Amino acid sequence: MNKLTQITRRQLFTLATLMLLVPSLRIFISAATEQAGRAVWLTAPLAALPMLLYMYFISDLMDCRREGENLQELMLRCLGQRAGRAALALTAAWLILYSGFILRSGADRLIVTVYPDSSPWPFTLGLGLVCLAAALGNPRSIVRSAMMISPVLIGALLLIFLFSLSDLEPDNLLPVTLDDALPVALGSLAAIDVLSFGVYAVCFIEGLCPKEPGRARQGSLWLAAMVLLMSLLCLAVVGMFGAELSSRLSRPFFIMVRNLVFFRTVERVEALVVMLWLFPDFLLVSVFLYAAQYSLRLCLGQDAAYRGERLTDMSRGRWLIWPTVLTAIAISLLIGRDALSLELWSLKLIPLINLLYAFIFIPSIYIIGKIKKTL
Amino acid sequence: MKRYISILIIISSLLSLSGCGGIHTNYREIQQLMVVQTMGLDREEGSVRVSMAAAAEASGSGPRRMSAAGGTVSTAIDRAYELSYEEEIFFSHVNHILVGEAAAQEDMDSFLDYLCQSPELRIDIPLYIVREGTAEQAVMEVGDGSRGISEVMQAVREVFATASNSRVFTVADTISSLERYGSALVCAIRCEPGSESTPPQGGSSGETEESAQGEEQGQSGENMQQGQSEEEARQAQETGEGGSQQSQKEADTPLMAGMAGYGVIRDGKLCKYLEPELSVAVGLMTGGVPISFIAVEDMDGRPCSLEVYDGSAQLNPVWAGPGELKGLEIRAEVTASVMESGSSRAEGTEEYINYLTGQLESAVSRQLSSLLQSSMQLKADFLGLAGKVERSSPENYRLMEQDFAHVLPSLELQISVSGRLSHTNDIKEA
Repeated sequence: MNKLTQITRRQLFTLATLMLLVPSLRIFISAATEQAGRAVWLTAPLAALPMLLYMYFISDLMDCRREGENLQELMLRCLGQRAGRAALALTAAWLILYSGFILRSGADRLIVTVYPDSSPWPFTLGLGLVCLAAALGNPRSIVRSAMMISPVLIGALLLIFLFSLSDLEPDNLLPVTLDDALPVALGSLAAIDVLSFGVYAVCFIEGLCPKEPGRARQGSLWLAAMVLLMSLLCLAVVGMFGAELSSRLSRPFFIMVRNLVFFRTVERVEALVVMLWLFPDFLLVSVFLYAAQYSLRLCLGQDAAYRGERLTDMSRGRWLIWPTVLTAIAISLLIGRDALSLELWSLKLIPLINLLYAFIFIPSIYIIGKIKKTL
Repeated sequence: MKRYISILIIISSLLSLSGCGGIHTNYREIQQLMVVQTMGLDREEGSVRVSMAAAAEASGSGPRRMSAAGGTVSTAIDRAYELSYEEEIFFSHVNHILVGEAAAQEDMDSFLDYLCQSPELRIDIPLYIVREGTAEQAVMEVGDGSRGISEVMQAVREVFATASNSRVFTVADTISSLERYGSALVCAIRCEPGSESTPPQGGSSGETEESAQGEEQGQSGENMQQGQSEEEARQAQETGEGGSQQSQKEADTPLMAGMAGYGVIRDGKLCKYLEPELSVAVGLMTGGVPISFIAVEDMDGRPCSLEVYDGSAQLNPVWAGPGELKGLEIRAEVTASVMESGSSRAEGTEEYINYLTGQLESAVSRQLSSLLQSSMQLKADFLGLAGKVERSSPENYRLMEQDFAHVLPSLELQISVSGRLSHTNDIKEA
């Protein structure tokens, strides 16, 4: 085990928590509320059962890895060199696309909430370059950043929830009857989309963790905490605005924060909270770009693991990090150039690709691996 | 230790990321900002007129106000900015939104859309309709030389929401109710001459003259100009006509804004007003009773004033069969105290208290009946009755074949009010 990059599983799941916050606030509340209405707070618990099964499946897959291996190495092992490389290229493409999209949607969040009438490129370029530095360095630094920032973010979330309690209207959340079952089931698709992302996203750097038993159990506990977190988010937002208004707002969580008044003296703290969300964006994009370049280097047959290289070291295919990051930045500048296009990417294309990747692509690799007895 | 230092550095770095655009680029002293506290919206000949007022300044000079028209709210604001001395207009602390009556009758939806989408405004800002007037008049003319509409609206807000559990309807409430029930309630204000006179120039500000004017004089305030000079007032007096004294009084009286009931919004348009006398009933049905007075007669026929300060109402649907809503049963409880009564031999006796309690119950019952009849006649569920029916009997509600608003006019009403006089403020009680 490479001690230079070694992390614990607890650190890995902390990173997963922060990465999950990005899609949770971007899409989950609005999308699930549109389907489930006032019963939206039940969508995450309903998604818990299928996601638990998915967590056990992913844990079973990741238990097949050898020491130091990530999901990428498993792909190569299951599919063989040629198909494995194609799968890795596809994975890298998805990770780069998703990173570009997150850069763009993060910029849009800043423009809509704090910097009206600004152009997105300074934000995407700025964050992209910071992520480049992270992708060039030790991946453990990214995980350690997550450990440092998580108490601040989780603390802020809990504080916001606490102060929103007085504005919660039970009428906005109840009654819920059996007739709500179908809308809740449809709304839980949004929860499944977000949770599945969190479950598989950390597999790309799981090689940094020593191989230990109990992944499924730890993962299940993490999943339960995430379901609770997502339910609380829904309770706070929909309890305050009602389902009709929440589904009409583009970023209901941040609008809720804008309305909060602390101790009748402090208000308009949304800028601080929006800025806090730069950190999950940074972590997600850094991990995905690191994983993308890792996949591409494996494609080229290079040893992609970090060995303490300097930032300017271009050996062993490390030069690929630069085009990987620059491509993500270029994508962020090209996609979603207007609100309608960004909405299409956010509500349709990205969730669809994510679900296909989580429930078709990864299981296919597992099945092929089992059939070929390479797992 | 390193971890805690890092957390501290991260938190402190957030201060520089607060969205103020960087201290080197758009830093402004507070005096250079016009911090808008009240915003008025009107429609005139196909365009939108936006009026804005800041709070009164600490120096004692009057509040800064501006008004301009444009194709949309945004362009009108832009126009107002171009034609002003202001370096920057700051909208993050708008506390009151006023909409003119004509604009509200024409279309509220586009204003609500703007308020919902604006990146600067909060959506829990109280929303008011200016009854029989324009928002421009309210924003630009209300107040005296040192106070403006923002200060006046703060007082109005207190009137609408005197009890801690009563409420002023906000932009979010209105949008939510319109989306859910197709209609909504909005608080209404009216501009009329105030009860305080303007202090004479150079005179003591502590000396005020009570000059509350009757309803018949209400319209006279429309022609008043704020800050009208004493010279003009003297000229008016010199005309020697019969109303000269009254004109003097009007000239001295600043225009104020006062509570004027509630506006009913249906399909995005103002369709009716509910009089302020119905405020107890509105409070009972919307979950917050404001402190209000009810005038009744005591056993000797003398006027008596009861202060209602608490109450609640429970609505139970009456079903003829599954999904067949037959009527609504409303049970209300109100608590009041006797604030003003003539001397009576029976005063303080149980019989007297029971009589007044009966009068209270009867008055509240009449209010509730009148309020619900308005809702039924308009086919507008602005009280959110559908939500209460659904919560009470969700299964039956889902089986209803028609929209609740369509069923509303045919419903039978059963109203029962239980009143309680908590105290009579009679010295003998002690």
